[in-house]
Amino acid sequence: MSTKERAVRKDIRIGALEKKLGLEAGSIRNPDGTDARSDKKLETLKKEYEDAKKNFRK
Amino acid sequence: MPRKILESNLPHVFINCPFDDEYKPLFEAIRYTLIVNGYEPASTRDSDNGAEVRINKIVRLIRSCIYSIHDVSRTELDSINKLPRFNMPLELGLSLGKGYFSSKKKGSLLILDREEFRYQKFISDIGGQDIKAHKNDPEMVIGAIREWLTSTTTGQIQGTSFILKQYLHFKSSMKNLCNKLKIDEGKYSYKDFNSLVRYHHIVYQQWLLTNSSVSDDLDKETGGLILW
Repeated sequence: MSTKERAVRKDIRIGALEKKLGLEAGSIRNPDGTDARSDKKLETLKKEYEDAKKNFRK
Repeated sequence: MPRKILESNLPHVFINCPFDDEYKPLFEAIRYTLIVNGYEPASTRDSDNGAEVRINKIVRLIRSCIYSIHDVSRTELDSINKLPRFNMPLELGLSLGKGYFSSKKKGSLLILDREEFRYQKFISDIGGQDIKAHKNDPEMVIGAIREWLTSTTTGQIQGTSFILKQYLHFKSSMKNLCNKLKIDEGKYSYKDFNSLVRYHHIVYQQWLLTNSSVSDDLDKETGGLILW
């Protein structure tokens, strides 16, 4: 199966994504480690991670 | 009014454990599990203020943290003085006292020991508390903490196997992580370690989200450190 066929829509909700990936609920977290809401959109969380990485301070 | 010492808004967990090299793998596994699940570890190692009396620092931390973890496993006699160390039981006592005498919202504490029921031979007054055994194994300590964390929140905590998988990836990525954060791999400090965990958490989760379309390959690819 090709990667393209299994692509995930960017508006998928985190709860649905966890199910799709076969992960337990709560596996996907916010950048600070708190539980990402199951109705949060993938693209929102990805943006938060980009910002967290860019602004990371030791 | 105690001076504010805790910076983040995450729930803080006071860790009362030995700081020696032998305990280091367990201490790191404890902090890792807390950080990746949205808790802030707090210990006397956070502050290097030599001017502060140690017991004041401990009391301030216990007062400020809603949760605490106490490891009472270090009971061996000191090779020189032939005496055991009483600091951990003392700090456990302070935390229990806080629960009994404070009018503030009750928190939760976890007591760890090497073996189940061993504590009954040297600190029997805590019989009735829920004490978890870790057998000096970081994987067991992760499981014990994960299980306890689920009782502290209505939210979700990552599963033990998922935390372990991330933790093993974290340990195998230390060299890359240290390079990235310009930390000496052989001499990372208490604070450095926490930063390494936070950075790894960001990169690992980001990878998971970015590569969610090829999830079948997750194990294989993260094992190969493609994140870097």
